Amino acid sequence: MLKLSNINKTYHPGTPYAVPALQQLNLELPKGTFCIIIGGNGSGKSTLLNIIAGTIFPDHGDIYINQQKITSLKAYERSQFVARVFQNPHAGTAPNLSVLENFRLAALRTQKKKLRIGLGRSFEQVIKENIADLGLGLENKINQPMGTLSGGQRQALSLLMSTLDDTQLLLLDEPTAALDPKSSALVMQTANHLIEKNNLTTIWVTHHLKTVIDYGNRVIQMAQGKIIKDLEGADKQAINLQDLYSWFD
Amino acid sequence: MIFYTSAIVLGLCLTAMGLGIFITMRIFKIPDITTDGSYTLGASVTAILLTTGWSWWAIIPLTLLAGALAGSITGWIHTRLGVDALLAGILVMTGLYSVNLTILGRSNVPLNETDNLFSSLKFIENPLFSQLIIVMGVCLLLIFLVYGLLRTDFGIAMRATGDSETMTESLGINNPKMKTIGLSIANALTAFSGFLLAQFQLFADINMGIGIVLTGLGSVLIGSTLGNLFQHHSIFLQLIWVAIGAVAFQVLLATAISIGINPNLLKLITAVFVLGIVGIPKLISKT
Repeated sequence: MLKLSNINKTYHPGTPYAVPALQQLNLELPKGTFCIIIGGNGSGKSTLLNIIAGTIFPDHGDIYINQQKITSLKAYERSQFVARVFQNPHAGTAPNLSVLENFRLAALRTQKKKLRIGLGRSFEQVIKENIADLGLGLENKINQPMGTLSGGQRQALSLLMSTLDDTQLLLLDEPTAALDPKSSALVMQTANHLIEKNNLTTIWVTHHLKTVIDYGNRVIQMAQGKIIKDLEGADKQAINLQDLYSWFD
Repeated sequence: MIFYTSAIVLGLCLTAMGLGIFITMRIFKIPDITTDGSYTLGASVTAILLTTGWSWWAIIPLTLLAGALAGSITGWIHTRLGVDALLAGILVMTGLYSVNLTILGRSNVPLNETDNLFSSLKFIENPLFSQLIIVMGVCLLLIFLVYGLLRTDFGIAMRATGDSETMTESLGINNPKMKTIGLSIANALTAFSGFLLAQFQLFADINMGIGIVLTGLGSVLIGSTLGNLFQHHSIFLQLIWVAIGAVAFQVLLATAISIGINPNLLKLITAVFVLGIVGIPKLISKT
């Protein structure tokens, strides 16, 4: 489903401050893989996510989604394949637009935004049902500005928005990092529910090692721009927290 | 009475520009100085075509097109060349001075002898009230058009672009293109104000746009201050408040003149008004 081939990325190349962020990185994710990526600061996790999303471009190497080369596509063009949830809930939603208007744009992620009014009753009803399915009681707040909701609520809705329109690859960039423990738990459960329900191919970058235990069917550890551990299936399920801490020794 | 009615008509003529500034300032958060040039551009195109015998209705699309072109150049400089939006606007505004002078051929073109919008659609005997009715109708039409645009999927994408570019990029929206389109629409509206004003004043002048952006900004700020006061946050009501703000601003200026303030100080008064609108709420909130 996703294939990265010989990806290299160096920040400030040719200067004394050159930082090799990704080095000869190869990765393949079959459809339905729920991959958790961990690693220390500067290990290349966020660079990897940004390169897949198209917000930065690799110096070398290619990216394929469903055998289609997307290396040179800009971020907005890649949105037809890739949905993204950001660390900061404020980045993934438009605060001055209503919840419903935010969902309207999310529902058109892979389509052209035309000169037609799409906020009809039928659309509103579908979105209400989708939001009600989260069990957060937000379905009655769809006409409120998104900015009036809490960070956790916005992040949960942002997750739902990312699964609306034919999502092929979901990128979660530490989606709970800016949240308190209660909101964090809510967002993690919501994410897991949506990923399993839609059988989404997912990459979840996190610093929370417990996430690796509770979620996903594959775990990757990165260091110095390389993949240094890659476990899946029974090997992944057998991991405990003590093992994970030992990876960072 | 005539004095204040004229101020109201003037304010309504400037509503189109207010709507344009609402799009750039409120929606895209871009300070667009192109306004000064595109306003005069609208008036210049109108004046020169009216004097060569064109009908006022045939001039409208050309005026809009000229304004849109000016806005799209600013947008292109800003988004494609990475020039700061303020500087991009200043560059285009400066260039437009020469363009406008070339179009007009001289610094001032009178329109007394022309058949224009207001002389063609004279509903009632009193010309001023006839003008008032016409510009009210035009303003309502523009407000409904802009509101309709902002309600569409495209319009929602426009509003979202100003709100969170990270989000819109991840939702398949080409932010630079969207900003350029927004600036084009805004400057087309501003040029339309020039079209109305030239026919209301019966002349187009090369200097008529100097500082006009501040007038538009003042209208939007008065409108949003009043809108906030009444807790009106819907897009439609915000647009209505822009029109009310544009009229209120002109009435305030007219009042300043009527109480004996030297008309030479009008630009200074305009600047002080806008400063007051921006600064007073901040001073109040600090006390």
